[in-house]
Amino acid sequence: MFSNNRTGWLLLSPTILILFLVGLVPFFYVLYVGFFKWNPLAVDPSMQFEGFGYNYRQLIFDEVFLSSIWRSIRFAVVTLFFELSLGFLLALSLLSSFPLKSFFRGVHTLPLVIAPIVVGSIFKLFSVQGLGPLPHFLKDFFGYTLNYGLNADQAFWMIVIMDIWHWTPFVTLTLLAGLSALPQDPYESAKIDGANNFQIFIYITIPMMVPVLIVVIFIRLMDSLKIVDEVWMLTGGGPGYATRFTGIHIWKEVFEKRFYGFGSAMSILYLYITIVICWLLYSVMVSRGKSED
Amino acid sequence: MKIRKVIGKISTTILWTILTLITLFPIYWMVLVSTRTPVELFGKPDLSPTFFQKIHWKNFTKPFIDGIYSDYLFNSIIVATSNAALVTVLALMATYALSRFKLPGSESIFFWTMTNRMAPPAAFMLPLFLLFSTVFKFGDSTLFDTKIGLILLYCVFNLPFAIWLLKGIIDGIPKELDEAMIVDGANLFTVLWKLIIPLAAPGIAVTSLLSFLFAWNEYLLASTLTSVYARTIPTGLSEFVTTTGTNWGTMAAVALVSMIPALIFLFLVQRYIVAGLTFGAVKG
Amino acid sequence: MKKKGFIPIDTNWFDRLFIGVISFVALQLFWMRFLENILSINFAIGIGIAWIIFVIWKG
Repeated sequence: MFSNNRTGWLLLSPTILILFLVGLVPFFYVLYVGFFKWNPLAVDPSMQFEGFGYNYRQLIFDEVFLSSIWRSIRFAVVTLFFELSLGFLLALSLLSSFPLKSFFRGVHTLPLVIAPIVVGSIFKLFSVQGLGPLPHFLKDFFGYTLNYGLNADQAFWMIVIMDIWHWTPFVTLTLLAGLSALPQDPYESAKIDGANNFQIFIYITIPMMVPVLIVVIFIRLMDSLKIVDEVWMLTGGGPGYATRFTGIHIWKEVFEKRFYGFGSAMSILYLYITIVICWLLYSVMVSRGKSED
Repeated sequence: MKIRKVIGKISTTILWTILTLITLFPIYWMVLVSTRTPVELFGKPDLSPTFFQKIHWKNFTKPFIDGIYSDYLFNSIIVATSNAALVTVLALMATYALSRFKLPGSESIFFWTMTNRMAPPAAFMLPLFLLFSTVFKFGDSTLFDTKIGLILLYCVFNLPFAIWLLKGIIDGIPKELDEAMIVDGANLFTVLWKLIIPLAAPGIAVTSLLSFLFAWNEYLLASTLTSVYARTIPTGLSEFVTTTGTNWGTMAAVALVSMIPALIFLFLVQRYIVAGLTFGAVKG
Repeated sequence: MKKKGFIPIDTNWFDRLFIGVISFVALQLFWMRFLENILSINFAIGIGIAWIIFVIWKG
């Protein structure tokens, strides 16, 4: 319609420029720094080249870093399981009508808009020893001592619970949007054939929901692997290494010890792992889309 | 059959009541803490709504009037508002270009913008810190610890989502309307101003509100890329973690204040939040 | 431009380059961790580059 594409590129150029400066340049810069030994607090504060694999050779034997990656992946899978099952149940229940439905739905949306750091604060106030009602009542009614500042397992599961509180609404609302857009014909013919609700759910609802489910899984996994703010506020990565997810680990290592070269290598490896997982899920998504055409 | 339906309705209502209580209770407790003195917080937690009788206003006045938190609040407002404005304008231009021009490689550009949103910020923290403090220089001043730095930076995750959200809307406006205006001699600016913006107004409003919210909520990059002058309210909130003997009341008050925009926005954008968070991959 | 080789999805040359580089990095890292005591990393680099070329050509 517009004869020349120059106008189009002109309209796009500020976006491309900004994303280039704060997206691509940092990526190539961190890739570059990752090949050097660089510690500004050391005797020699300049960048030194010690062979391409210098930092990576250290990193691949760094058990703390590797375990932080496994911890992040485990966390992502555990929260995904709980959020997906709970969210699916709630989305199905929102399809029927019941009193005060829109009020309940509105309150359910609330955690989504709260900043992660504020969610961390809310849970800290709620569950810290000596202040929060949660450890107090667990002690009074069940005789269970909750002190996530000392107990590693409790710290991990506290983070899981916080994440479920924060992000289940996202799963619920997304799946609800998908469910309400489903065509009604297959349900009617299944009912005529005499299928029960459970059969309808397994053989009709789930297969038709696969595209939406993949989107949800994709976004939730990526966000869980990124988690820093809430954990930093609630446990600070402790006790010990119990809640030290990769993001927190990089933060602590880099900004306390100032190992710029090594930290860059960590960032690149972290990025590499997210890219691989992201790409695997994306190609699953694309090939599903193809097979449906 | 009818009885089963009634039982189903009742159990769903009970389920959602419990769920709502679970959602609201930690927030309610935060409100309680923010209105109490340290002495009142000591010992067995008192869950009665004492804020109807007495509010310990010092929790709010100490950080926001005597302390530095009013500056943090001001910085947050400036950064989030400017970022939302910038993102909306740029995304509108970019989306129009992607939607109406046949640019070679525009699909790749579209895909590339999405990858920016998926990247973990913790991996970009170090290079951005180094670039902002040493490389991106204008004379003597760097981007480190400036509001402009944060405003530009937040485009990384706000622009992709804004473009995705607006693309669906602008693609839905028929091209014939544009063509008719151009035949009548209108230029590009007039087409955008008189046709696209009025027709896409609700979408543009949602985009800017959500951009504001994401910029307001961001913490990790703000805390590493600022030190004194450009600190935002989430970074101020995290300062309570490191101090020994936390003043819980003040912390709750700051958390409560930084939650206010989120609460306002909940009423405005509730219907669109799903589309916003899933990049429009699932319509809300 | 899309074609189908031994990789189970349709790919263009950029996709295949991407897959090649991703697996190249994985090979280097695993080699450093498990095999470098026995064989020099240069073997891994050689194998990896050959693999990238093969993937772009046949994938």
